[in-house]
Amino acid sequence: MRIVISNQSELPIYAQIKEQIKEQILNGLINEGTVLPSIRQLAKELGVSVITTTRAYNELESEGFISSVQGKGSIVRKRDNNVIREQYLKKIEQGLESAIATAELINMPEEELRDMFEILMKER
Amino acid sequence: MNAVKFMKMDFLKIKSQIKLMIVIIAFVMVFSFKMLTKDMLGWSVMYMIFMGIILASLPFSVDTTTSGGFVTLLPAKARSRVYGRFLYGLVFLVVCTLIGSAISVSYAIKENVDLKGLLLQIIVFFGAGVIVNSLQFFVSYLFEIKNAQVLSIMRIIPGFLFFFCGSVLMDKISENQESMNAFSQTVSKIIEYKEAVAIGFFVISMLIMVVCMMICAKREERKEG
Amino acid sequence: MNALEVNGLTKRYKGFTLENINFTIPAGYIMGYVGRNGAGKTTTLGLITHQIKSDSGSIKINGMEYKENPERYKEMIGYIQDICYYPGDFNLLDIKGIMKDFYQTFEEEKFMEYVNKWKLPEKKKIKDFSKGMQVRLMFAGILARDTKLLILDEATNGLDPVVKQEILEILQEYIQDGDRSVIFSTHILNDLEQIADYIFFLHEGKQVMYDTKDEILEKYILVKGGLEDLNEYMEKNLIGLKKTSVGFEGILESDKSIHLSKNCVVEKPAIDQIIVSYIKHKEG
Repeated sequence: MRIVISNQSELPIYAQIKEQIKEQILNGLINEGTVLPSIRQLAKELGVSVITTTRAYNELESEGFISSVQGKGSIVRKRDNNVIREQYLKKIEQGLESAIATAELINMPEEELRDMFEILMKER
Repeated sequence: MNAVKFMKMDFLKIKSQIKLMIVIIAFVMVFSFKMLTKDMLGWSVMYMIFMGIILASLPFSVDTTTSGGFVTLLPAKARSRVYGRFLYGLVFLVVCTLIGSAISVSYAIKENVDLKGLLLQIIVFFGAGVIVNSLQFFVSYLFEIKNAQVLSIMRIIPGFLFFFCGSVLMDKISENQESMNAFSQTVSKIIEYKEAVAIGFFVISMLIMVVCMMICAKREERKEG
Repeated sequence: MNALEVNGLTKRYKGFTLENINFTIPAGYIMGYVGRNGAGKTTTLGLITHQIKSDSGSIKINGMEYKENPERYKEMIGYIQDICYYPGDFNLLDIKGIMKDFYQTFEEEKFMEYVNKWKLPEKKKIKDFSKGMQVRLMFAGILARDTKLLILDEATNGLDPVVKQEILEILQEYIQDGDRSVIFSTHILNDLEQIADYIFFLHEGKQVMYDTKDEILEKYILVKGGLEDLNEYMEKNLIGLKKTSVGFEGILESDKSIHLSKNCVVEKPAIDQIIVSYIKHKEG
């Protein structure tokens, strides 16, 4: 598992941890059934506060990525395809919204944007 | 008991001054041996106690500034610290008395002098020493002086008080005939009942020590709540 | 079980009053107790360790008040300050003997383990130790026994960065089992900002801010810009507004960010920036 915190990032630290763990689960870099380091252990290794890692794990759990088992710790759940798909859909939406916002900045008409999209898709 | 642990710590505290102490003790021992006379065998005990009172005040002045935090945080009641300090004073005086007595006895054996009356002298001197030391501790706790120079002056005072009060008293009494008579009568009475007086004095000295100790303990405890 | 509970703590002195301090540290967490010099941090800690008597209020360590069992209360506390409190003429073996005598849970082997790990000289007088060695010795005396609350009073003052980092790691190790907590008073927040779970900000004897560190960081943003970017709303609402010939900067509550003018730069503030701004705001 790889987690790198940046103090320069706009994201709060708990969010950085959460997102990076999430990425790796989605990409299959962290397998289902893997036992993550305990909240306290992770806090110590990253040099951050316990409340921060607790929040990251709590949100991962409520989003369905991990579940905590009494006595064992936090375990990566079986990849629920719906949940995963939803996460990817969110990412796609974010990417598209970003492109649209950028296009607005230079007053690019909708048609031009759609054309660009088609060209890119064809190139693949 | 915690008081004993604190007493041990006080002895440990003066460890740094041990060289100075040995020199002083040795000097007083030799001095008192030289000063002994056939009629007053108890002088050596008195000199040793006099010195003992001065040295017993050492824990109050050694390392007062920074070590407070460690000692006061030890898991013990504040009164145990005071009991331990008084116990240390008492033990110190007992040791001085024993050394002084040993000197007296060896002198007596050497000069072939009768030991009669020595025991009473020892008891009286020891009692007086306990009283002066208890008062010294009481004042030290009351005023909590941290300045090293002031403390060293203060340390000498009780011993000298002990020594010179007696001579001033003698001067006052010999001023006129009446007081001299009264004094001689009192003295004869005392000599008549000398055992009872000596023991009574000893008991009073112990009481004074306990009273001083209790008052100081209460004060220390009230500071911490 | 909470490691430390402080309720309505008040202490009055002639020129200064510590008033109505309330906070709780659950077991297993670290709290930064922050304030300027003279704000009352050492007074607060002195009240917690019962070196000073409070005028009103209650203090509980692990659910227990001092008067219930003074010896047990003191056994639960580990205390470290910036000046070494061991009698200077003692060496560490003397200290070991005393701690063995007084503390029921003191383990000699553990103590010597730390002494050896940190290469502390056994026969040297403590007053001849370097500052870093003195701090380590204070830690050794505490980590070798069972405590529930570790109190640090400006303990990192005057230490070099390497030793400071070591101390932070010791603190994180101390709370690993989730059973013990740390309260760390300082006027330099940089020293422990990263690992602190809670921050309590004390100003002139009064509680000014008390929250989890993450919440405080989320609640405020640092706004910067040119002087022309300052609008009326910002002039009024930026805390600790600092203006120079080339621009301005100030702290704003994040939920008010919609009032910002377009060209402003918005950043995550550091906790001490928030605190400094707060102080300027209160004093200005």
